[in-house]
Amino acid sequence: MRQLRSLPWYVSSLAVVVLTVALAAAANLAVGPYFQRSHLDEANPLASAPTTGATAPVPTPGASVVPASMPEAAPTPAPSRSGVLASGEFVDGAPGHFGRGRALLLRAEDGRQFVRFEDFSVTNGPDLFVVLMPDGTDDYGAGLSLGRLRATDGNVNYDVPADADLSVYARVAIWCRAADVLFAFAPLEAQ
Amino acid sequence: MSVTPAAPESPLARAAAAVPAPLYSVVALGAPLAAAALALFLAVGQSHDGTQWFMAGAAVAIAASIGAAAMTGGVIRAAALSLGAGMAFFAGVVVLHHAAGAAMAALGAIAWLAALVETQRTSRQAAVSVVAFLAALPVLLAWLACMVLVIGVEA
Repeated sequence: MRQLRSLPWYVSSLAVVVLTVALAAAANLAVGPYFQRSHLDEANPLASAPTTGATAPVPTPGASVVPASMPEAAPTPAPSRSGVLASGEFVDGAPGHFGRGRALLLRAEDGRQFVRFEDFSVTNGPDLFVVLMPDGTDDYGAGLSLGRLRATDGNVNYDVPADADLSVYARVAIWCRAADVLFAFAPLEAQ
Repeated sequence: MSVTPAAPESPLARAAAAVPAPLYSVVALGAPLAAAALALFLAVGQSHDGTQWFMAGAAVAIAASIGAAAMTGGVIRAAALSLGAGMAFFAGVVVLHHAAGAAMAALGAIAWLAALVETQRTSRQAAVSVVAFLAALPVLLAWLACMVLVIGVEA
């Protein structure tokens, strides 16, 4: 403290201002997202394309994802199948981080593949990504990244590369890349 | 025996000599109180649970620190004033996406300047004011952690 007092006033003042601004910026970047919500309500990508009798019915928001007439769940979806391939409910990730809603793996008849979140809500944070994870690993950086989280709430679609083999993915995760923290995940069960 | 005051050497010392005492005292107490009112406004007006809890806690903490400052003097008053100003500033900084948050941050900064001037005038312990102001950030972070991990507030 005595050394600080011996500094010229402009040096100590500048140091205090720089420290204050740096702390404020860090607080805004690291904690600010927790207080920000974003809502997106996108249509089901399968709703616009008619499905054949051989494909699964198109789910609608709020409706049951697995109709009673659907056949027994297969361990892995057949590559050529379209409709709902797998689904799961979001659960909380690391302590203090929550996730709600449903995740669906969808394939359209034209081969396009999607992950769709319905009635979704998650704790917000910095640098959040949507990641498809294969079974038996917690290395989220090695999963199939579908890009940044687009909204913290709502019904949201994420494109999946058409050449991705969806049968190898066991869960979809909301992951903070910067801090390597799992915010929420949905274990996927084949339909 | 008369003591000749030292010549002002910094803008803070010059401000302490030039600004009338009632002005900076009123600002040092009034600005954080206005920030506390804005925090309550945010707590009541937002549907987001995390914002409601965080801002309600910040409003209570700011009001408590200003209450403590009003009832004490000297270094403790300087610390309490600056702590309240810091909580207004940093609580506003994390919700800058709200206009009220930006106003809180501005009020906190103004309150801190007033508290610094008062501290310089009364005790020349500006370092206490700086430390108390910056200590507001870990206090707010501790409240946020308590909210999320202990109370279980969902964002």
